[in-house]
Amino acid sequence: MAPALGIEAPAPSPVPSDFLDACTTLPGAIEELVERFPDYECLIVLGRDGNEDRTTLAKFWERAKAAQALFEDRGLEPGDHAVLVLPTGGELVSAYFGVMLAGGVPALSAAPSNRISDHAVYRAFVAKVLGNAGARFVLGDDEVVEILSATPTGALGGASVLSTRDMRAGGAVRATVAADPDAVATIQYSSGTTGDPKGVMLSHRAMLNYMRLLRDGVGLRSEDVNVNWAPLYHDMGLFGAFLLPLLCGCPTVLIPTMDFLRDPALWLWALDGYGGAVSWASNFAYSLCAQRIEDHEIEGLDLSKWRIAFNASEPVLAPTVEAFARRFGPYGYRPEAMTAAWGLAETVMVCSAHPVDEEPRVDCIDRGRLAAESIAVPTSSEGVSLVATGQALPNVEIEIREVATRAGLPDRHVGEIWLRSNCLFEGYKNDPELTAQVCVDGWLDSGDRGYLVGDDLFFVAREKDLIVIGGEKYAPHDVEMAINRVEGVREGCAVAFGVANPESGTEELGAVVETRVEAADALADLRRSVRSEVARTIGLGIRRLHLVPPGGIDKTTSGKLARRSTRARYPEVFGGEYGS
Amino acid sequence: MEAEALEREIRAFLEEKLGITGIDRNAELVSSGLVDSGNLVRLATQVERIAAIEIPDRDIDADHFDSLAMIVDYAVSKAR
Repeated sequence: MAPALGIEAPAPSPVPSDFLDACTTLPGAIEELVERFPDYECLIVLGRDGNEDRTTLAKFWERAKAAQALFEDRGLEPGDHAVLVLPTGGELVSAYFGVMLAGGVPALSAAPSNRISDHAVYRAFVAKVLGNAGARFVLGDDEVVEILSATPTGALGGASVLSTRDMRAGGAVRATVAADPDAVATIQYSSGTTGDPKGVMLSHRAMLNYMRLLRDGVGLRSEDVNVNWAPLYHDMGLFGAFLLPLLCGCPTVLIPTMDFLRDPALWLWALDGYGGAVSWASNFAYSLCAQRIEDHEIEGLDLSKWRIAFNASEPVLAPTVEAFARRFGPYGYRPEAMTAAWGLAETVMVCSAHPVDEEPRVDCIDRGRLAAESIAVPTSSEGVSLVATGQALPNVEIEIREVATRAGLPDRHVGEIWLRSNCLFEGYKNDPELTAQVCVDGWLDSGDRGYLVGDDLFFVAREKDLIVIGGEKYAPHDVEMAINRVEGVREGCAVAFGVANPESGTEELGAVVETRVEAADALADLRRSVRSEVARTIGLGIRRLHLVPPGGIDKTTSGKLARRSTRARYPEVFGGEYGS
Repeated sequence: MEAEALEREIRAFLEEKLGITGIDRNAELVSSGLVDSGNLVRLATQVERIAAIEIPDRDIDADHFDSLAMIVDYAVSKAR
């Protein structure tokens, strides 16, 4: 582990903390950083084997130029889109800026999941992303290139598959054309590898506004070393782990996501060894560390320099926060480092955060009144414990509105969370209808439900039935489609949803399925087939699968699946919506 | 390590750490949902340690880890 690795903290950053103030575009910002601080060691990529790749801004620039040369050589014209499918690491961050320097728009999408054994499923997903983005290029590593090369001609819409192996330093490049601050700078496909891709378009202006407001909101300083492993196709990864620290001049340490999952203690040792002050993770990661890391793996660990442990992108659970503090308190971890936050890709990333240096605030509320009246009434016993996700960041306004009338609601009344800021997205790529549904009069309907207590925002549930497991999002519809393909399932009579599991710190997949079969043997076969099909095509195991006879699933009067009420019919299997 | 001893140790890990007990050596672990994505990675890392082999990320999938029998076959083939 790290003491044996002998990793050294990066040299102090020479970048002034207000560097971003005058920047108007992303390529402009990186170019200025390179010109002013070429020898500054901005990026370290640390692998599970202890190998480091330490990069100065000059070297980073050289690599980005190599990527630019590759794209231009293959015919990328200004305004073209290129999809990047790469693991967290040096190649991805270079390629990201390489596309921009060539005048293109990078779109980030998920790498193949090791849980989905069927490559055809992944190829179909990438084809959908390319189609949605209208992308002419997709760049991947060896694995991605191999998988995509087996795609039937034409299935990728004529997009060229490029390999990172072809990025070579010293290639000729065009002069960079200054980007328009209001142009789309990035498209994010952060909804995993299933379903219809939803491309969130972000302008240079929104992204830079966002980075400034977050920097100021949490007091990020350029001396703060940032240590992260989040996948960069995820908004928390792209901004929290990469763009925000890099462009704010903070030394940026990246760990490939898979290396963290295989050895969670590596993250903590990297925080220790590099003097890490800031890190971003979702709740499951804190739970994973608290449960899985054994004493002998962290002998001598020192987490006392860890100033901000952001917890975002899935519900922050009070038991996880407590367990993490209990487990790592003896190693110098300070409970006030845990900074719960809430937000969404449509506002770049988190837009509310608990005050840094204050211990998490937990609100224990009456379960019955929450379910029956949508009111968060404090109670002292046996209630639902919710962790405050903090206050709106500068330039962000948050309102809680009644669902039907969209009228504002008072404190402690649960409603839809709406927000407005100077960093909203430009819309969903090629989906004006969906964009119009969520953007109303300059406000964004987040699709989440919550309540306010003073300035503190509490997240209660998602309005849109989204399933979030380990920070990854899954549409229930996709799971249901997979289930419906299994013979013996009543067509269109399957519902899927997430069931919170406080022990793992994230949700697990639950499903209710109507069947045509009754015999015990046939039911056992059907159960196996349903699980197998969902694992093969979605990459998830159904932890709680409930087979029911016809009529066991609720539908609305218009015939739509009623997931919540169906789930509520079987509390013995799934518990109550707010826990049992 | 002998295949039998390997199987014994992996089974012990499944029982003690993942709470998966009494399974047939051909029972589906990943595609049945018994082993979720996080535990699949954990299982592979443990197999790596027990068998003293290196497992590349891309091999950590249901094609190689869906049953005790498959895991043992895979580990033995990598150890050669």
